[in-house]
Amino acid sequence: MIFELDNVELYYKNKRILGGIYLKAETGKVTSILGRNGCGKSSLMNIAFGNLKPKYKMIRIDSKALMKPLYTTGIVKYLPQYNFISSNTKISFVFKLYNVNWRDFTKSFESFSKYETSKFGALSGGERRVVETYIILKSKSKIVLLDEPFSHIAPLFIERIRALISEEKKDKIIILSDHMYEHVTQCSDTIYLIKNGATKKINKLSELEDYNYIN
Amino acid sequence: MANRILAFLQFYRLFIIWSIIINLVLVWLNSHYLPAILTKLFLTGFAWYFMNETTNKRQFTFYKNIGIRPVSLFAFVFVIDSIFTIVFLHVFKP
Repeated sequence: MIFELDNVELYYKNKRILGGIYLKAETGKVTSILGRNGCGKSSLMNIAFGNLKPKYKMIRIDSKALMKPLYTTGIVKYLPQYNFISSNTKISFVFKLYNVNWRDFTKSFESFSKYETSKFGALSGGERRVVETYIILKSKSKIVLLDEPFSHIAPLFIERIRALISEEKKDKIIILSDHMYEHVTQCSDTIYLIKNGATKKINKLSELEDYNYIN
Repeated sequence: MANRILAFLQFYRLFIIWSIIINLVLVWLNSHYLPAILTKLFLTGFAWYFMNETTNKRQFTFYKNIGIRPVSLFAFVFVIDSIFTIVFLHVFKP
């Protein structure tokens, strides 16, 4: 499957945030979006998912234009920056709802086995992020959008999340965005940088220096 | 399909306490069925507006991830709550 996001124009109070966007992602590859704070990475994720309506946008799946929000197709899962599961929801209920196996989860993340009957509010911020990221990656989908999957997570868990991304990309399109660019560049097959509201495809990591994203 | 129904019921859980309180007020006012349903329609519309205009909007992502539109959630809430209201009035109205 090939997912393309094209011709995005987003304005906030007459100020152009995004324009000249083109992003192509394919099954079997991790596509990453890098950029400075406030450059519009999260907005782009929200536009792709269907949470945010820009002035213009074009989404194509296998070269066919999609005229309705992507989430209504049921083929996409989105991990936003914020906690998307409310604190008073039972963890076991969410695993059931999203068709994710709790035992498989605790095999990879043993320290969570005590939480099966708990609510999300019982988890720390980092633990919550791990559970949410796991659910999004493991539940049935064809496209996965991850907004800052490595933030607020302990280094040991970051490695496991990265391994999970590599495993899941075999039959999914994975699009991710994070400020921890070393983790991002190590697990990505394609990288786009957002600069001045437009995407630039990065072919060599040294280009990130040329564009003043890193020193 | 069963999972989608569970998701709808999970969303309705957010409103159940408010619904009971309003039903008690409607019983106290000795309301007829039609004004009661119209009241619920207005309040469902208000809840939709309130959630859309505040950070509560983020809660929709949980449901969108399983392919459910916010408008479907509120349509379900209105239908289920109307049935609940009619039964409630029928049982408790003097």
